[in-house]
Amino acid sequence: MQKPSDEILVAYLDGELDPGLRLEIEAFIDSDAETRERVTALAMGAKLLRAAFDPVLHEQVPERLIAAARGEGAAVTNLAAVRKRRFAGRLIGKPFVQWAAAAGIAGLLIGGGVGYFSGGAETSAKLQATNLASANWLDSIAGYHKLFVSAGADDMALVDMPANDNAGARRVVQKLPSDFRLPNLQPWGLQFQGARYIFIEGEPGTQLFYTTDNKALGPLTVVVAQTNKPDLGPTFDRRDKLNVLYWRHHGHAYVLVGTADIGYLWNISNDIAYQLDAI
Amino acid sequence: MSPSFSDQLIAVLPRLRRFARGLTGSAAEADDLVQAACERALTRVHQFQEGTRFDSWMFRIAQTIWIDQLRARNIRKETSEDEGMHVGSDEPLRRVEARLALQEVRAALGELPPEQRAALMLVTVDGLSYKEAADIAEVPVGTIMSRLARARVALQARLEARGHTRRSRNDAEAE
Repeated sequence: MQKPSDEILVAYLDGELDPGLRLEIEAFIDSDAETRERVTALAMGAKLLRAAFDPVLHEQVPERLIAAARGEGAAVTNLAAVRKRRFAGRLIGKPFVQWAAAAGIAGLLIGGGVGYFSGGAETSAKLQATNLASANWLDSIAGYHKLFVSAGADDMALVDMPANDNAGARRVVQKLPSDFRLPNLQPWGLQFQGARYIFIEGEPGTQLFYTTDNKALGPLTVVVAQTNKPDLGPTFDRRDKLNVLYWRHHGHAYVLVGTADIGYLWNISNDIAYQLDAI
Repeated sequence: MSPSFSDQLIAVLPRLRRFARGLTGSAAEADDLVQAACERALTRVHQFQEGTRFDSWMFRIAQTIWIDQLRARNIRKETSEDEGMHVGSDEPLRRVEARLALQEVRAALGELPPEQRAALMLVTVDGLSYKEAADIAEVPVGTIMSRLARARVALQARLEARGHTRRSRNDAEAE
């Protein structure tokens, strides 16, 4: 056999040769040190090239691209303004607990739903609710996740149902789909810290907060809500530096929010789907 | 726009960004290219044929836009794709060396002709078959084959030259 051309050697490395020719090339490579060295060098170059660009896959995809993919190019421009409105209370009402409690009331309304108000906060809450109604409900859930992480697990002003409140647990369940039960994520090292009631697009639900010592996983929000929308397969999204995974199944909407990578979220979503669908 | 179309588009974004990074050699330009590709895809949803590969369709759109941009602006690569990649002073030496080596690979890719760059990104980096790459580039499979061979050999030569240069410099400093 004649010395194979670079085209043939590259095609061999790329697995593009038919079986007969591949065997011939392999035999030639075995018998010719110079060709063997050539193939090794070409293979190394390909390996380096992949290594040089693979990190791009793990970079955060800019929000403008996600918005563009959704056909929301114009929305990107206003994203900062929306956030500024939503978290306007962040800068006032210190200490943190005070404004967090107010935000908790406003946060009950997500996506144009109807929640409950309390006392003198009604006007302010309605105003904030109007803003929230125009925002994407995923933004709101992710925003509240950040609030919870910032406040820490000891700040119960953010939750309607502390983890150790059995009466509260019953109240949450009463407001939720009848087949709801609290996902047990302890096998993942995630400890339930509390929940709050929410409405997503007019349907009741709950936002559950979990924390963990595992820094690779980080705190996690799980949302379970009713929905009258059709089933939707698991869909990944990003909100700032948070990963979001959401899906709809048999009248329920589920959302996971956290800093955990997509692989973690995917596996946890399977666990939750199994636990809740098994009822 | 159907949710599934948007979902497919979002799912392919990381690979599309990697492809664009290889083509343009610049992170900012790459993201501009991806955004333009998304916008164009959304205006041509009806042209996508169900049952065909969505990722290939998006790669083709991105490549077409990029070639159009090259022709229109006749740009030459002015910035390195490693803009903003600064090496920390406390970074372990071995990691610094590895990073520099990968920067050289990206720089070497940027020196190749555009069509060879695209072929390498599609086949060698993204793992598409020659047929799939040929469909995206709208050229015969044989053309992809020869582009790849020339690109791989040229890339190898550049890397060896850079390695030789660095070794020579190190030797000189050692002396």
